[in-house]
Amino acid sequence: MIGERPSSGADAGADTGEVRELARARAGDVAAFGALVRRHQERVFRFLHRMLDAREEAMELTQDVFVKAWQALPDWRPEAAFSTWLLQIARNAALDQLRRRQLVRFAPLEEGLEVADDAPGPEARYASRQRQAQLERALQRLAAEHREILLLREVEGLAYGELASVLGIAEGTVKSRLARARSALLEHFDPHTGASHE
Amino acid sequence: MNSSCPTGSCAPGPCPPDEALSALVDAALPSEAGAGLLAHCAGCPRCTRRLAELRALGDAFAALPAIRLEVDLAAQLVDRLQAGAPAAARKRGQGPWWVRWMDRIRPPTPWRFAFSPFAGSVAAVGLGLWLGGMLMELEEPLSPLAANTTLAAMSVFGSVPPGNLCPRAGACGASGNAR
Repeated sequence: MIGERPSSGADAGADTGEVRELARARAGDVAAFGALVRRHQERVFRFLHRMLDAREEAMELTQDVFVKAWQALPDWRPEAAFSTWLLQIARNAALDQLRRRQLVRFAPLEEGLEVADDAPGPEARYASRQRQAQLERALQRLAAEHREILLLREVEGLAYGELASVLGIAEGTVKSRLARARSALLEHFDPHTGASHE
Repeated sequence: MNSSCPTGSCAPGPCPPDEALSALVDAALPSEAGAGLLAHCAGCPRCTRRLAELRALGDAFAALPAIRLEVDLAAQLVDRLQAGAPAAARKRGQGPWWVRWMDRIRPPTPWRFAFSPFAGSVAAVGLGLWLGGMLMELEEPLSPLAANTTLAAMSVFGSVPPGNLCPRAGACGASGNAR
């Protein structure tokens, strides 16, 4: 394999402690489930936050994801990685939320494209912040299916097989969708300068 | 990127599609295919630029500021699960077959019950009993006068159709109805 970006498996860190907690939680041990929540809450929250671009909403949804996970825990099978399974629930919850949001309010995409962070500081630091802000804006302009696959790959580091499992698509489709998502993002964002292509 | 490279500046062969370059960035290509792509890019400014863009995109993601939850959701959730949702994981899917069957058909919340088939059945039976009760209450004993009126009214509809012969003498009245 040639390339730079490591494909760190999502459940590479599923240690024996987690396996024990999972077994106890499946037997109805709420405290063990709490330990599992602690292990995965940051990741689920981060993904939801970037999908929805709303902190409070993401926080509420993170709780909902874990409640759903608790209720569905008897259906979970050890063949499916727990963290991947959680991200699958989170992804479905995020898409539902985005659908609801479209019904409730209309948010024009062009709104607020200016960089919000104009705090004074060293030029390089400012440029870096500007680039980050532009990337976040550009991400929000993408279709949800492109945004989710980019976040799961680039931020969460899921391998192609895990992406296929979370998104419910074939690995071949993962490859093509990822390429399309990157192309779409590059239409809105220049990764070298951080400039947005309007 | 499906078009060929500009004449004179290309490595041999057509430019690879974006999908291949994207997979190369993810280290998701077999070694030989990856090496071939890199060799092509070395002689193709256009593909080199595209590959650099894709890699820079990865770097831009890596540079995104960390998002922290800053709240221990676990503590809140454990309280919530212990208080409100009694161990769904334990209750459902365990126990003898009839308990599991009851679990499946029992509506877990009042709201779900309101929209369940049970609610419809209960409402239908209740409505039937109520209407039946009302009819029973209306059915009072008839007075002799009322009974005569009823009989007279009923005699309009005789057992012998109009124009038919009486089955025996005296069986029909003046109206031709059977007595």
